[in-house]
Formats: sequence, C-alpha cells, structure tokens
Amino acid sequence: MRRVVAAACAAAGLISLWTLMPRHDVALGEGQPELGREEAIRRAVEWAREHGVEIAGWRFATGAEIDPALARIRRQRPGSAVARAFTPVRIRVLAFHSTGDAVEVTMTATGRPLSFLDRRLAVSGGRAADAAGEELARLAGAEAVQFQRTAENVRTLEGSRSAWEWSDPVLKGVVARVVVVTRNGRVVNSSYEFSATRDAAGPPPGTGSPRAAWAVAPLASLAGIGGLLVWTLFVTLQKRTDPFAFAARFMWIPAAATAAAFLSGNYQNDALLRSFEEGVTGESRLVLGVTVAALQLLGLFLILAAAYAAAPLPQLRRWAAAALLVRGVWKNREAAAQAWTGLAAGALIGAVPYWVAPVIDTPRVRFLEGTNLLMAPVPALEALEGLATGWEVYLAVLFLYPWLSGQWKRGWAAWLGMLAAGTAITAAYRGAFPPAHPANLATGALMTAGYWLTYRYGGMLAAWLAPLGMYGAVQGVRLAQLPAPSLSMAGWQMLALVGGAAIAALGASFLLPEADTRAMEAEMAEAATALPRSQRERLRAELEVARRAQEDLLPAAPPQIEGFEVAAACHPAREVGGDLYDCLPCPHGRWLLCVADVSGKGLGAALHMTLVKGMLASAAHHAPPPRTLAARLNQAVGDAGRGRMFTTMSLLMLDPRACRAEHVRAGHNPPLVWRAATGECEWRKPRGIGLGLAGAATFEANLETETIELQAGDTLVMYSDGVTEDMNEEGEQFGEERLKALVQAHAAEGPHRLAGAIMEEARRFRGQEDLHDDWTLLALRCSNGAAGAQDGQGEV
Amino acid sequence: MLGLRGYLDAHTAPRFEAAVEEELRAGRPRLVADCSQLDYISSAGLGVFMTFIDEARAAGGDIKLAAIQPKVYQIFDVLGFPALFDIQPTVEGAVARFDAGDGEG
Repeated sequence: MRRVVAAACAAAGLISLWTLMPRHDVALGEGQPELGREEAIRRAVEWAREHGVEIAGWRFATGAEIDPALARIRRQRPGSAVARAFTPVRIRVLAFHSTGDAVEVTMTATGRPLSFLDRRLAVSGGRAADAAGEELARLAGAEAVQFQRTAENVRTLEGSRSAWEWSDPVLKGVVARVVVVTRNGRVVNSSYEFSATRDAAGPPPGTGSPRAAWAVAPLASLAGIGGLLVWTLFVTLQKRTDPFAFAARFMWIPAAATAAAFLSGNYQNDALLRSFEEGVTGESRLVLGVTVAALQLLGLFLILAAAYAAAPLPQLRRWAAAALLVRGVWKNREAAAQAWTGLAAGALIGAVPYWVAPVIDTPRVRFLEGTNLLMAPVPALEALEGLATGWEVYLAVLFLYPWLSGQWKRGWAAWLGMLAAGTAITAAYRGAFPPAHPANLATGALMTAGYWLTYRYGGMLAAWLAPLGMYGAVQGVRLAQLPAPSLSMAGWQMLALVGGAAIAALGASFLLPEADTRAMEAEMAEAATALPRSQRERLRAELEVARRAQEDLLPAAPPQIEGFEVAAACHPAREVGGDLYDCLPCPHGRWLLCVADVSGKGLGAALHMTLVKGMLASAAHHAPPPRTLAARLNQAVGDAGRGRMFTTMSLLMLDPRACRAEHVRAGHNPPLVWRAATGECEWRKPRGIGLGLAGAATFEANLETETIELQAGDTLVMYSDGVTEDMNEEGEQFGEERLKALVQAHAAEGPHRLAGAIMEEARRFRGQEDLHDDWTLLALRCSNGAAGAQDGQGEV
Repeated sequence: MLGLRGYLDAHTAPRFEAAVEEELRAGRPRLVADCSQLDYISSAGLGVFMTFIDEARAAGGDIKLAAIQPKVYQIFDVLGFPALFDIQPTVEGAVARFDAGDGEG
C-alpha cells in the first residue's frame, strides 16, 4: 500500500514538474542557454583566437547567470530595442593555464560573445590600428551604428580604454555599453553590457517586506536546534555508545555523495569560478571547499547520533530498518521499501514550489540553484548532492521531531514544533522565491510537512533519501526541458540515475527477504533501558521489552489446519498479560489447541503463562491424551504457584481428518459450538477444576473428557473470561448471552469475520473504558467435514 | 462466621485474608463464609480461599461457603469449586453441616 502511494506521489510530482516548470522556473522562463558546456567552450576558444589568444587545451570552468533586471524589462517592455539585444542568461567560460594565465569569455544564451577578458601576465603586440573600433563592430554587430562614443583611448592601468553607449530611444535609463581596453594594440578587455537604472527597471518584487523579521526566524530556530543538539549530546550520549557507531556507519551515504560531487567536477567548476571573482588561486578554494564539506559531514554525523540516542521508544520503530542496514544486513526488504518511498516522495516534495507559484503569482521560482547546474561538467551526478545537503530534513524531521515527541506527551505538540522550525529552516535554506517573500513560508511549511509524512509513514531511511529524490526530479526535469541537446541529455541521465535507483529499490523491496526488524526494535528498546532515565521511564522501557518478548511467544499467525479455518486474537489488558492461546501441531496430523488464563494480570501472570506455554510445547511432541496433559499441568502449576496462583484452561486435541476433538475443560469458560445445520449454539461444559487448585487425586476425579464431533460449517469458539467479563462505563458486563448472540449472527460468515465482529462489538461495548482483563478469542470452522462424512457418519 | 459484602478483588482480598488468619490463629478453624451480599469475586479473592483451606482442614475444621448469589456461583461453578469446597444454599445449612460432623466437601 505504501509502495502504491509512493508511486502516485512520484507520478504526481514528475507530471506537475514537467508541466509547471516551464512557466514558473527562473532558468526556464527567463531564458535558458541554448548551448551545452562543450559548445560554449568551443565558442570561447574561437572568440579568444580572434583576439590572438590560444586557449584550447587549458582548464575550463563554466557557469551561467541570470540578470533579473534585464529579464524584467524584457517581459514588461518588449518594445525596448536595447533589451532585445541581450538575453537574460549569460554564459561564462573561464580558461585557466598552469602558468597562472586566465581568460574569461562571456556570451549570450545563443553563443554570441559579450565580453572578453585577458588576464595574462604578458600580452604581446597586436596588429590593428583601430583595435577598439573593430572590437565594437565584433561585439555589437548590426547595432554598432547606434552607439555613441563616450571615451576614446583613455590611459588606465590596464591599458587604453574606449567606451560607447547606446541609449534606448524609448525607455529612459536603459542603455547598452561597450567598453574596450587595449594594450599594445591588442584587446585585453572588452565587454558589451546592458545597464538599467533603478527607475527604469523598477524595484524587484517582494523586497517591500521587512527583511529583519524574515532573517531572524531561521537564525533563531537554527540556534535553538543547535543548543538542543549540544544538550542532548552531553546528557544522553554519555552512557550509550552505539549511536556513534550507528551514525558513523551511516555516514558512508553522504560521504559517497560528496565524493561523487567532487569527482563529477561540479566542485572544481564552482571553486574555479568563485576564485576567479575573488582573485584567489583556484586550488586553495578547492581545499577550503573540501574542509567545508568535511565539517558538514561531521555536523550530520552528530545530528544523527543525537537523534538516534534521544529518540523515544515509539520512534525507534522507524529507525529499525536503517539500524539493520548499517549493521550490514543488506537483505533487508523494509530498507528497500523505505528507499523507494523516500525517493518517490522526494519527487512530489520538489514540485511544491511550483504549485505555490501559480497561486501566489508573479515571482518566479529559483529552486535548487538551477542556473550554475546548467554549465556543470557532469550535471547528472549533482543529484547526489541532495544526500549531503538535506539540512532541513536532518535538523527538523530526523532530530527535532523524535526528540520533541519524547519530551512532550501530546503528539500534536511535537508535530507543531517540528513544523515551525522546519518551515523557518526550509524557507531560509531552500528559499525558492525572492528573499523575504511570504511564499517562502508556504513552501517551507508544505515541504516540511511532506518530509515529516515521509518519515512517519516511510521511516528514517525514506526521510533521508527524500532530498535525493527531490534533486533528481527537479534538476532532471529542468535539464531535460532545455533545447541544448547536451543539456537535455544530461537531464535524462539524471532522471535515469535517480529513477533507476528508485526502481531498483522498489524491485528489491519485493525480492529481498524480510529482515527481522522486530528483533532490531527489541534490541534498540533494550539498549534504551540502559540509559539513565527516571525510575518510571526505565520501568516502562523494561515493560516494553517484556511486551515484545511475550508477543513473540504468541503464535505469529493462525495455524494452517487442513480442512479448517482458524482465526485468533489476543489483547493483554496491560503491557503484559496472563492469557495464552496456542495451536501446536502434534504427531499423526493432529493439533493441540489451547486457550488458558493465568490468574491475575501483569508481570506475575505473564511469567506463569510462560511456564504453562513451555509445558504445552514440550507435551505436544508426544501428543498425550488431553486428560493426562491436564493432570501434568495441574501438578506443575500447583508446584509453581504454591496455592497462590491457578490457571484455567480449555484443551482440545483436534483430529482434522475425522473432524473430531477431545476436549477437557480445567475450570475455563466453556467453549461455544455453533452448528451450521441448525444455526444453534451449544455450550460445551464438561466437569473440571482449574489447574493448581487441587491435588492430583481430586483433580483427576473431577475431570471429564468429552468428544466434540464437527460437521461441515460448524464453528468452535474458545475464549477467555476477559471477553465475557469486559465492562463498560456503567459497570455492565459483556456477558455470555451477548457472545452467543454474536456467534449465532456471524458464524456463517467464517471465523475471521466472526472474530472481527466480536472484537468490533467488544470495542463498541467498552467505549472509553480500558480493557479490564486480558482478551483472547480463538475461532475455528470445519470447512469440509470429516473424510468419509458422505457416509453419514459422525453425529453428536 | 465471616460475612462478605460487595466486591472481593485484589483491593479487598487482603482484609478478608487477615480476618481468616485471625480466626485460624485463635483456634477457630470452623468457618462459614456468608456470601449472600457478595457481588463479585476475582482470582485474588479465590486465592484467599485456596490459601487457607488446607490449614483449616488440617486443624479439623473447614471453610464452607453459603448463600452464594447465582452470578457469583457461576464463577465458582465454571472453575470447578464445588468439587473443592462445601457450598451450601443457606448459612444455616452450612452451620448444620458442621454439627453433622462433616469436615470435608
């Protein structure tokens, strides 16, 4: 079911991304490059060659930028001739040589050159007399005639500077400028720029609101969460060593992601571009980048360790599959299912800003910093970066929510706290809209809610992987929709990469065997009991361990008895209980069915129940007659209980082929048999004393064995007194009559429906009251009748 | 004669237990439990009977149950108590049983 929902999410996310992105995304809406990276570099080499510099074979870094003012003007005043000469997207190509030389070329989205910057140390002599004028012609092309010269051969440090301007005839304040600097007759720096005054361009939308308030909220929540982390670390991690191991083993995922980002060249690309701007050398920027990444990973590690250590018991269930995985249990169906869920959910979460945009209107979505991606060396691998940078998920969902739900009893309070912090963090970190725009809050809230739902219904692994799904979906769709073939190919590659991983996880979730998450949970719960908590919490933790242990003692599923359908339910009144039901296969195809009730409730009763179960299990090997078995049990219970404890039990040795059962009733509630032929019920009440009440002689003298013959369709119901003595608010008991009426009404529907109907009615009857005593029900129906029943044998 | 009234469960059983113990210690092992006012009995209550029955019988006496209400009798009956205890419909009948010299159920 979860898988289907996840699939629907992925489909909805991808479809909405595909349709909404072209209209609302900054990169796609305001102009996208029509060249891929290789093509841009080729054009840059050509352009540099025209200026007498040979940069083929140098090291390249490429980037893309969007000029928002230009984009606005192009949209609002399509008539502006100047604006039309440019594209909002500008491609940047940087060429580095090992000697320290650098050359920068910028061009429009279509590859038309816009600027040339020669930062070589030595520039040899040029050729042309009017190098500047020629450059103007090269840059401005047909529009060159529109330009007015504003500076001619002015001496500067760089060289000889000339400048021209072209003012828009219609719009005041909108100009195009050409600046050329030559040295020794060779162009060293030229640029063709678009410039608009503030009045002409108009203020950018969304800057009217007070910036201070928007900036404070995310900072405050980050500081708060940081404080919580530190506190949690020092208080709870002292006694527990395994969270560090857990986090350390888990770090391979984001470590691999960061490594992939490095290897793919993205990091170098970014580092080189930024270093050029700042004037520092490329290599030291790289080292700085590596250090920052390492610190990020360390931070992640600490968050994970603290979250795992502080997670209260009910949350541990969501971490169990991940915990198994880090212990090396790779054949882990649950982990694969969680991976699928997370990746698929991520696709939907990534679509959130694109839903918000049409509703809020006006500003375009700038999400996941798409523009530089367009020029990255191996864009397909950038999706992996999502694993290392999903901060909003780690902080809000994986750390804060489990921690809060352990501190505050009210579930909704923890949810609200997480939502508030998550909204603030997401809005700041992933601000898809211009800063301080309220749409960021809406996006933040929706995305945080999405991540939380993924955590709650998918598990910790799902939440962890959701950012990867998000990156893959958003970036993949964006790239795939670009006209440049190399870029759209990269987009499809990215979609294939992440989609392929998701589908592999989905397949694995069907093919892999189940790993024992319950045992893992039990182990984690046990480890939790070692923590220094209050007395009450420790007891509660231990009871939880005991509850799981006892749950494991009960049959995992109703038995498959040939010719019979069996349904069973067992609910302890407290964490642990004294009721027992068991169905044990015996030699010769027979089955030993038992419902027992140890006197009392709670831990004492549970311990005695274990003893009884043990004896039953060992007795099943020899299949003694029920009478003998009961006598033995009476001895054992009497010895163990020393008169203070007794157990009632109904024992049935069933011969499925003969549809016949031997029944002894040691003081237990008499079973009910519903006859299909007549539609009537009968109570089976052979004589018998409870186990542990009397000595052997008295017990056996008062124990009657009876034989129950079952016809096709007959239903046998065994239950404990928790069912009939169940009380509602008025102190009324459920009673035998009500049970009998229910059986008569529903037995024909089969034991499962019958059990369901009885449970349903019991719940309705009980209302707000808690379970008074352990509630056990076992119903079995003879499907086909005895082999040879056609002969008309077997009548009670 | 011990009169039981109301609910005999884990809360009230200790008082009953103390009363029986007192009687036995005082050398009065012949006890009749008047159950006409008893509305409910739980396993804790049953346990009190079980605890002292052997002691009482060994001392030559008995604990007899009298005038049990039908609903409560059903609980005893399902458990098989009638085979273990002497249950009489009236208090007088139970007392008479002692006089008749019947010490066992």
